[in-house]
Amino acid sequence: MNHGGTGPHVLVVEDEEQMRRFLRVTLRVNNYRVTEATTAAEALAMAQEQRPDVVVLDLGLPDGDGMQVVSGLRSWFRGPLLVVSARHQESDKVQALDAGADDYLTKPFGTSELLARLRVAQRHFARAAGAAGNSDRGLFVAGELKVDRDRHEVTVRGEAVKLTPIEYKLLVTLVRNAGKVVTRRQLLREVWGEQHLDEAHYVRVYMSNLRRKLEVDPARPQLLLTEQNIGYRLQVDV
Amino acid sequence: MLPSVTTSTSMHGRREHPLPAPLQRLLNVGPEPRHPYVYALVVVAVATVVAFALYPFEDLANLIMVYLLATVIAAVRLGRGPSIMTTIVGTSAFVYFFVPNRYSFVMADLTYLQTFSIMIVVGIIVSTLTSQLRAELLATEARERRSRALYELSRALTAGDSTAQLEGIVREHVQLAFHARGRLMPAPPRELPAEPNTPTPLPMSVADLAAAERACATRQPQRTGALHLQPLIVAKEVVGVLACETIEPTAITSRGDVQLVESFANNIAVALHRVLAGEQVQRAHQRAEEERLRNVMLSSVSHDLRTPLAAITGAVTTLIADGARLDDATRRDLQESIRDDADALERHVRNLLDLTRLESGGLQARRDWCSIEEVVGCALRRVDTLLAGRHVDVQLPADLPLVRVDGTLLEQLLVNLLENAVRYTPRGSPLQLTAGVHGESLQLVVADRGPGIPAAEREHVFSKFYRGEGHRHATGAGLGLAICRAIAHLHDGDIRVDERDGGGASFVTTLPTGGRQPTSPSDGEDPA
Repeated sequence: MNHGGTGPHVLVVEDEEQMRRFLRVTLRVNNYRVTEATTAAEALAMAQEQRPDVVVLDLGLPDGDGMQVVSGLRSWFRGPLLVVSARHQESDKVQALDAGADDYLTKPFGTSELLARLRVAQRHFARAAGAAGNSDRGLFVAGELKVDRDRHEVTVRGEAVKLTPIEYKLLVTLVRNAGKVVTRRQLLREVWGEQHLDEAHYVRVYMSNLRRKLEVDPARPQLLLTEQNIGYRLQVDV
Repeated sequence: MLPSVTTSTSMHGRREHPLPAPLQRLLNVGPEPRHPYVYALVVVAVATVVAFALYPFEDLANLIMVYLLATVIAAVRLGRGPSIMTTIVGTSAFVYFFVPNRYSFVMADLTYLQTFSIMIVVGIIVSTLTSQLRAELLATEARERRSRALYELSRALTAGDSTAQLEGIVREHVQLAFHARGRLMPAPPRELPAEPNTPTPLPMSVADLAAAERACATRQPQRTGALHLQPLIVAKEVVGVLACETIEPTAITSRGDVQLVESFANNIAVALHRVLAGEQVQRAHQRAEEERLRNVMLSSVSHDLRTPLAAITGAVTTLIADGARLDDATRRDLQESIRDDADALERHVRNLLDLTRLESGGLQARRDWCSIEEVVGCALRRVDTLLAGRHVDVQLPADLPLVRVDGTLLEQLLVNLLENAVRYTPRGSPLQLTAGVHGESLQLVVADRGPGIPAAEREHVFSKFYRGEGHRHATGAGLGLAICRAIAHLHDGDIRVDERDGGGASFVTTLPTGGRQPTSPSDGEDPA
């Protein structure tokens, strides 16, 4: 089942033939090596055996829960894990993301979206491995936004911006996951701590403040995007 | 003279009192006591005591009057038999106690034999006349009571609009008129599962139901034990059965009561016939409307699903067969049309699913404190491609509070309003999106500079599968605004369309804000 390409090795877990075909063709053309699994059990076995670099997993598998694969993989698998799901399954997505998936795609999605998500996830893992747990250091640049994490300085369009400690912490959390979706729960845990996991409106209030300070038009954000009912994403060019 | 007094007392006694009250009470026509002959003896005994009291002062001819009075009272209160007994026993007592030789039935003066005979004859005549009058009076009262019951029933029935209401009316009036439990059963009679919140109707055994069916089949009243079953017949058609169960098994046996049940049945039958006909018309209307919607939906679904599918199939087969001979621009054009049609297909399927889920009640609003700015941002991002560079003027006050709504659904509402505006207004015309909180309600307005919506159509645009005049062939099945309304209603809010100042349409969504704001976390430290 191991086919073509010399680039990263992707395990595609998908039960529908048409979707597998689309993913296979698209990924191979973009120089990925592709392995396919159609059930949760097969996916876990295949991942152990083939040691892929990236996993793309459909949450709507027939033989039980795609969630099972997420938690099964996350017990040992350290690479990027993307989940694919239908619309109206926000709670599944959030659950998968909180259980350790890196990002999600909603069917139907286009090629560019798929490749962008894969690149962001891979880059994130490469950076995390390189920084060796010290990823909150250094200069981050995304478009007009500059975050100097050594000096705790934020500039946008060349102007320094004053942030409160919580706003700064929130921004740095998003920067650490730049390009990736971060669930509200993850943000609450990182910024406010375990005891505030149910206070989703904290995030909304502070994201609103951050947008007011960083965005040209807070109602049409270019940097701090909302993923409705899921979380937030700091947009980066990929 | 006495009979006429009795008549006036009973007939008009409620209004006039020509006799002193105690005598009046004595002569009141009432139901017979249980042992009338015992009462007759008591009356004679009382008359004898009174006669003894009067004996020293009065003539014998006057004493006999006391016994005559006793006869009249017995006739009025006790009926004919007891009254005749009162006459005979009373006259005998008079002879025994007062006529010389006293305390013996042997009379000293034979003229008293003549008095004795006349007394007996007068007593029998008075008894007969009085008790006839009494019977007539009782019958008149019963008739009066029945016609009042019937009048009240028919008046109540005119107000009944549904079978359920009629059943309530029947139950109430059968109880009043017959002291019986009543039940109205539309034909064919059958036991229905008990519905919550309605009084338990008269329960029916299998045998009772069989009797009810027999009443329908034979068109004759049926009786099983204390249960009387009267068929309800209108224009030779059996529309149901009236069931009355009396507490005492003999209550509905008198001719008057049986006639009254028949009159009840006639009135109820007419009312039931009217209500059933009305309900039938209503059901037919409902079915016709459902049928119409189903047809519209089928044609819309087949049109809106097939059109993009046909285009996709066409473009793809061309690319496969002639791809090599096409120039790059043409190929690109075909490929883009495939993408656009697939998008349209997806949008349409999404709308159908959304509406189905919203209408079936399978979708609960998952309300949470949401930022309107975020919801607006998400909606604008989703319609970005569709806007194709059109300007949307977004006006959100900086101090807009969080609102307790389902963010995903509200985003969908805005997306549908924006899609709708793009589709029905001229290319390049500007759009405006504003939000504001007034008291306890949030107002979201999506306004355009298109042709506007005629006043007559403003309510209809929110109906599913409705397309405005002049847009009969527009793509999209006319579901978008129906979804908007369903979402607004799910939030206990509403949506309407107004004419916009300066031309165009303005869709106004009003939602409750959800009450008191949640407490915000404090962040008082100096900026980093």
